[in-house]
Amino acid sequence: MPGKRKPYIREIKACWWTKLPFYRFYMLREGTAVPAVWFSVLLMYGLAALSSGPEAWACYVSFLAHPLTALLNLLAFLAALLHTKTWFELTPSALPLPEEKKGKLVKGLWAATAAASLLVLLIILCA
Amino acid sequence: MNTEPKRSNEPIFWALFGAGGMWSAVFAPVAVLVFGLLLPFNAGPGEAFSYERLLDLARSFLGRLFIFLMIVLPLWCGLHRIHHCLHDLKLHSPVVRWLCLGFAYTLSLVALFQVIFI
Amino acid sequence: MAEMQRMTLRVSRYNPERDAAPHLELFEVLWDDQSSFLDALAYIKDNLAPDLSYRSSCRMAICGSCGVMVNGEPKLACKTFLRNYPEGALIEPMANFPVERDLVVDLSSFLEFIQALKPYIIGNLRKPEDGPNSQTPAQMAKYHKFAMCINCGLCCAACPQFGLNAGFVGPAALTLGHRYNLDNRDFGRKERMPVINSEKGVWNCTFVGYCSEVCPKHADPAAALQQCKAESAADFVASVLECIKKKEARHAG
Repeated sequence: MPGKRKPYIREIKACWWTKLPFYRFYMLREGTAVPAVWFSVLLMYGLAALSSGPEAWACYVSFLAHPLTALLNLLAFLAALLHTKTWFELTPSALPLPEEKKGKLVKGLWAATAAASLLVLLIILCA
Repeated sequence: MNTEPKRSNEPIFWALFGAGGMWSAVFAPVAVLVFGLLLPFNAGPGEAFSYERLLDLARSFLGRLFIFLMIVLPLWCGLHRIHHCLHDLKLHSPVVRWLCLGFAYTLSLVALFQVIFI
Repeated sequence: MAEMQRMTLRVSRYNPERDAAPHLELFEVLWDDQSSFLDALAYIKDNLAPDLSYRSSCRMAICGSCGVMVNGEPKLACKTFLRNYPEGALIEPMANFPVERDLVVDLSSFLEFIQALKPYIIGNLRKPEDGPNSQTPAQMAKYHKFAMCINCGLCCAACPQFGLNAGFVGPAALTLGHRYNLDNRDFGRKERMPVINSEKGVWNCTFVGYCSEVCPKHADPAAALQQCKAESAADFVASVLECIKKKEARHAG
């Protein structure tokens, strides 16, 4: 008997991720990559300025102090925090750990971040 | 179904992504705070952000290592994510992949030269 | 008994013999606090549209047949209640699968993918007279969560990569494969890794995580896939080392 089947394949549009809050947050999480790349490029620019001499450095610092650059860096800071939060939340699931150890791991990661941040602040700010 | 399918080379880039993601999670907030928001407004005690002091710090061994990792690891994490995000937005082609990974690779090489010859 | 209330449901209809594409049809259903979407579909079929097609069997969230999209979210119709949708709801067939008719989708590729991961014990030479295999609680805990899967396919309907990447075996198949890789009674890892490592395998996953959110049995496929990635990466390193060793041996020989 000839089949009467005609399976309908629904096309997925590029805007699929706008349909559910869960997908939108996923895109925001992945989107933190853009400010992260921006900051890496900014550091490279700074390194180039630092090795070219005090005048180039002063020029770089005034570029950093420009309101638009500062605004982008504020965004990069918030994105970095969101990355930290989501990364630590997702890390335990990649490891075959018993449930009770997962909470401990996340706490440990936050403690390590706090300690590392404090250390960097101490080194830079305590001249 | 093909019994010996082609092995994906994604583990290499996933390992870099994982290392970069972990590094960023720990160090990016404080790094952006210090270099992106405090430094330009000289919001530190005394000569903390003076040119000479920063140059000295950057030329120390730990300084070079930290700056290199702070540039390169987030790049590999970020461009891996951007590549997959573009794929999610249906911009998928080997060209996009090689542009993203090529960008990370090139900037990594440049950063390596920068920290060596600063 | 409480008074029955009325609610309008929008249901996706598709008749392959007549329709070029699916379209929505409105139905007014009677419901009370205990009505599930499966009850509502049965009400429509009994009273309003006898030709409505949908799958179901156990009506108690164990057979995994009645997966549909409710307001765009993958749900088991029997485990989702109208009382949580007082404004009415949209019912569509599971996303990322071809629509066969109305709410019935074609699951043949899904079943093929599950078979490809060989979700059964392989290579255990123990005979009945040897007695049962022993397994400690700790050994069982490794895979127990992943063994909760009922093959309903909701994770695949939730996974954008399953929809975007033709050939991706998807979260369900990989979770089941990983479940057997973690089982100390099983010796079939070598047969499963090539599929997991391949371009159809785990590397399509970007850890969206919605699969674990929608799983009605909390099998946590997202976690299984991240663990699969770690294993696949280790397998990659092992294969590179093996390749180097072989080259050295050829050089020496």
